[in-house]
Amino acid sequence: MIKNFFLSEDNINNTGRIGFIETPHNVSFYQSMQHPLTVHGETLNRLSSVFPTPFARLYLFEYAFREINFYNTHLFPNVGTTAHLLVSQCLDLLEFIYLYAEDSRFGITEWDMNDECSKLNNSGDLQLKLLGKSLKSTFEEITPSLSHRIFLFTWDDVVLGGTSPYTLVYTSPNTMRILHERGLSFRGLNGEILFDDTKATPLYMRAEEFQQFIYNIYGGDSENTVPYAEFKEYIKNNNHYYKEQKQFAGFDTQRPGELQPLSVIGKDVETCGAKIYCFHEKVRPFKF
Amino acid sequence: MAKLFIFSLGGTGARILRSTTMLLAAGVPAFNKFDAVFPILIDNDRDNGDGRLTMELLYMYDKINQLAFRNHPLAHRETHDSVVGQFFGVPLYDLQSTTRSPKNKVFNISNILCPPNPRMRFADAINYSRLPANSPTKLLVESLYNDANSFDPQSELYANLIIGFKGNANIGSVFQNKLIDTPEFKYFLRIYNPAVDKVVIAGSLFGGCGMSVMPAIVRIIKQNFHHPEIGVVLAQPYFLPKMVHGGAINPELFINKTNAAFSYLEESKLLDEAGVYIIGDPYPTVIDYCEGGPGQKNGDNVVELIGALSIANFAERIHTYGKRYSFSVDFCLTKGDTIYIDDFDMETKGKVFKYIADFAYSVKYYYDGILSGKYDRAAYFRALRLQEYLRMGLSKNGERSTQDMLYHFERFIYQFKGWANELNSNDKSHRLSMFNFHNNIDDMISYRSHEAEMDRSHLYRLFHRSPMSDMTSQMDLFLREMDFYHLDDKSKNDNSAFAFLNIIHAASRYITTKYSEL
Repeated sequence: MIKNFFLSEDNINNTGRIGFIETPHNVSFYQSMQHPLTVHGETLNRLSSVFPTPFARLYLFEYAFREINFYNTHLFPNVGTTAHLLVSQCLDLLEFIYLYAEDSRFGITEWDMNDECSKLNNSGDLQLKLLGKSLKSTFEEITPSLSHRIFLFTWDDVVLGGTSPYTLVYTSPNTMRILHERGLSFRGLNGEILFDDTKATPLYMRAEEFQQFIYNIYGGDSENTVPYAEFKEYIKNNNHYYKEQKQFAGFDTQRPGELQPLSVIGKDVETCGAKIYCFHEKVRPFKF
Repeated sequence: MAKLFIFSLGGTGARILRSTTMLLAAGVPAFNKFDAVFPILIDNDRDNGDGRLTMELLYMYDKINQLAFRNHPLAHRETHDSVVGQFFGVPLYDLQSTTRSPKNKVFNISNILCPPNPRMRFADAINYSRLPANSPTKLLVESLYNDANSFDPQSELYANLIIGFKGNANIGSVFQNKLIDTPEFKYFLRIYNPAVDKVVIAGSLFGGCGMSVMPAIVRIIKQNFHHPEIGVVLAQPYFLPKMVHGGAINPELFINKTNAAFSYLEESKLLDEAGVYIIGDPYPTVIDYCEGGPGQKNGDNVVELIGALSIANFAERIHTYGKRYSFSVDFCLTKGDTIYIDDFDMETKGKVFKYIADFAYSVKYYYDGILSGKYDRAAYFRALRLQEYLRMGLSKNGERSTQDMLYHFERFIYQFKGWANELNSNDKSHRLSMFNFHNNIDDMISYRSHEAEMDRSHLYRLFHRSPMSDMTSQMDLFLREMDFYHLDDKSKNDNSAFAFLNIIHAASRYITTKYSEL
């Protein structure tokens, strides 16, 4: 892996002095390293500001999964980094949907790129047109030949997040702030607080039932693997780690019958072919 | 006609361009193969102090180049310079050359990125309030941007854009299309010839403007041209604003953001065919907190000079497709270490620092030998009528090109001295000590070993006459070689601006060879 810092003693030019070093293009210049600083809460959301697209949130969560997958061999149990907190948020939303999606306060709205950007483009408003043009060109980069839609999840009028071809779902940067403001608190199967901006809960620390669900649906090889490759890699690593820790055979990929794909106006909620599910049998009790 | 387009993005890009302008002024040969250099500053921050300083410098450079090299017959004659370089020799162009008078060049196309009303917040710039409540797009925007109220520094949707994107590339990227639709960018696409031209884009990985605009420029060029030669100079965090409670820019995030940016660039494969230069400093320099505007004037830093070296390196290389470059050092640098010219490898010294030294000698001589009046009896001084032109300000209606050229030259070299001194100021994590202008001209270059410096100086003083007198004689000699003394008065008048630059360049070249090891 290339060392990019020019003032690093690790970079020795063959002339023995300060100068340019040429590196072939097939050497990665992405330096994945353990973050020296861990940021929490609202500040954590600012990390998405580096991605040059309005869909920065989607890239941010993919980045977080990739970071953790990179750590896997030596740092998987470490739960204190920015990446771990982001991954935890993503898992929180999946667990939230798994548990609470059948409640009447849970809502789903479809954002169809072509329909919505056409509306903006035909609005006669130059600024809305600019927004539409930007949303269209940047979302096409994410899913050039796949589905051009995002399903957005709400609780009453609070936007929780949406679907992502990179990580199945992403959370809104406002979710935690608004939930705090309204005194809303949701708990997962293990009793952990969902959408907690101060504590990361990796998949292996969540309830076995949820782990089993995730692995069953998204861990197998039969699903479309390309769009959410980093997410699948994370599940695989988690399964491996959990097996080692608990000394059991690991989760299988047989789907339990009581799961129900989410749908809105007769349309399955999916992202690039991967459906989002909730637990259909009963709505779990939760606390406010 | 080979052209070099240098896109400088945001404050970091502006500072790298400032250092690049110093290299251009010094006649660094890497730029000589281009018939035209197009410096293009792009910044959403209208009043950015760094951008303004660079604009002023480019303006001075351009004036000097025009006054000395345009429409002066002698400027087109052969010189003894084997690299055919001159101080201020490469002409600058702007992207509006076809529509404006060349006298009013505009290198800055920053305002086009700004929203129509400078007081606008991001939400206003996209007319967020006109989106119907609970409409899919409104919900989408809520899911993508922080919509805290405008008093919250974390707010993205209600962030005021008057002083730029404040590190938010996800906001800046919405305005990318405005850049592409500008007449300037369309003009660039019209005149760019990938067979002979090069494009280099410089900016920071961690700021708002650099990461907002760089991907858009690269993408558009790749879409429109086959095998374009693109260089990208990316700065990792090399300064760290002091943490301010409630500030919109959070320095703690810089490293995380840089990593995330690398991740994006890697995955997007955007730069796979570009020549990529990564620059930075593992020990960032701590600076006062500033979100932008006129107050954003971070002192010159060696990392920016490395950025300029990267641009020169890219300009000179024949094939950079898919190559990546970093810089190396042979000793263990720790925080606070000073770097010297001698620490650089032979290639960098021979191709760049030698020429910076030429220019520094000229600056020294100009202050100590010319402005002081010490050599006002020299033949060249009288032949060029310098006494009449020095410190006279600008001439009325531009009647006296030499006087005007000297006016701009004097202002430029003042900036050059400030730049060199600033690189060596002790508030930096790493200082670059190049010259000590207080020393005699023969021991002006700083060396790591003080003893070596003293020995060299002592030796020359024993066996050589005063280097200042030496340089004066050389200037006389070079003017004679130009046959300047035999020209009629009108021709002398027409050519004296060029003649001055030519002889001070040639004489300083001579001094560098004789008194330095470069």
